[in-house]
Order: sequence, then structure tokens, then C-alpha cells
Amino acid sequence: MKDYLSGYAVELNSVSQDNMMLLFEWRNQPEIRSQMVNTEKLELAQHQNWFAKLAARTEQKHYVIYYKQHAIGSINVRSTDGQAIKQTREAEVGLYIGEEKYRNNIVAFAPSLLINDYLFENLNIQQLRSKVRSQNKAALKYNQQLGYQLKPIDEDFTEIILTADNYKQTTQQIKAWLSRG
Amino acid sequence: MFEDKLKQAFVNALSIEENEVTAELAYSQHPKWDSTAHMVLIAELESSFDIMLDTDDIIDMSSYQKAGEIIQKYIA
Repeated sequence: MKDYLSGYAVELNSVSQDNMMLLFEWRNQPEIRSQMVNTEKLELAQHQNWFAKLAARTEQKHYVIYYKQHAIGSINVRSTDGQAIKQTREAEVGLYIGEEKYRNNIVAFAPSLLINDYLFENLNIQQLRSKVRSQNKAALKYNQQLGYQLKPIDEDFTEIILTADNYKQTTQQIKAWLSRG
Repeated sequence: MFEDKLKQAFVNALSIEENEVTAELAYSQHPKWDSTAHMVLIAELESSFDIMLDTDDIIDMSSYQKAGEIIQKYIA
């Protein structure tokens, strides 16, 4: 998968030695950590170990999101079956906005639009599927606005599923707004 | 006139009372100004003032006050 993507007013740069510490800081913010499937605080050694192995991994890809050259968050893609992203037909996308100023902002849709376009139009991805904490109403609403269908799993988690058709139908307006320049 | 029109656009888009539209009204600070309502608001503002906002201005529109400042640029 590409190391750099741009569009909808943002740029995605593959996680590198230069920006990997941002992920560590953002990921450990209580308001972000509390919404993760794994809510435990990451130790620096764990993070460094994860980063050291990242370059060789083909089943997941992690980016730092830049808006006007300012790093604002992170987005990642993982295949759900362990195959390389290039080969798999189903993946999950994870996103968090580390900079609070941009958390409740329409620009938070931009990295998802960029990644989803790439996955649906350039790779073999047929659908995206993830698990979101049911109490995270903002995330559920956000994902619905991208076209995801919600399926409650239990009281803690809701499964969210996005097909290419639902994505295209739902995001026309927001794509237009974020593409005007 | 401008202020009335702007206020009415917010009332319509966010489904709130006129007295709730103050300079302090901000995205995600009011329970009804969420990401869904924000999109309705952008459409309402463009329609009310017959303008087409640039992407950066759509992104910057984070409060009632800011919306006023941005729209003034387009109609000046």
C-alpha cells in the first residue's frame, strides 16, 4: 500500500521514525485510549517494538494525518483475515484525531474518505468491517455518515460494516465540500 | 439584515431556538450541533446566502461568530 496519499485537504504519510512518537502520545491520551478495544496504556518499549516490526508487515498500514502541514491524528488499515492488504477482500479502518481542535470538525472525515477511496477503487477490498464501543456515540454517528451499517454485537460493542455501494451513495456531498480547494 | 439571515440559517439547520444562537454557539458545544447538523448547516448557509464556500472555510466554520466572519468575505 502506498506510503503517501493526498486529497480532501489532507495528506497521509506512512508512520516513520520522525513521527512515530506522535502516535505514542496520542494513543495514550485518556480520551482516545478509553475508546480503544484495548484500553491499556502503552509502554514506550511496546510502542518501539511495534514500530520496529511495522515496516515488514503487509497486512496493516499506519499513517499520520496532516492538515496544512500540521499532524492532527492517525489512521490505519488492517486486513481482517491476516492476508496482505493488497490481496484481502475485507479490511478494517481505525482512526483517531489526536489534536483536540480537529476532533469535532468536518476535516476529521477527510482521512477516512481518502483511505476508503483508495481501498475500494485501487485494491480488491469489497467491504470494511470494524468494532466500535457502543457508548462511543460520536464514532458511531461519524461512521454512519460514511455509509457504515451498524450491527450491535453486545452491550459493549457494535459491529460496523461498509460496502463500496453504501460508501459511494452516502459520501457524495461531503466529498464535494472537501474537494473544492 | 445579515445578522438576522445568519441567525435564521442556524435556527433552521440546527433546529434550535433563536435565543440559543449567540456568539458563543460552537460546533459540538451545543448538543444539536453535531457532525450531522454541521452538514445541514453548510448546505443551509450556502443556500441562504447563495454562495459556494471553499473547503478551508467549511473546515474553519467552528462557531456562530466564525461563520459570520467567513460569510462576510463572500458577500462583501
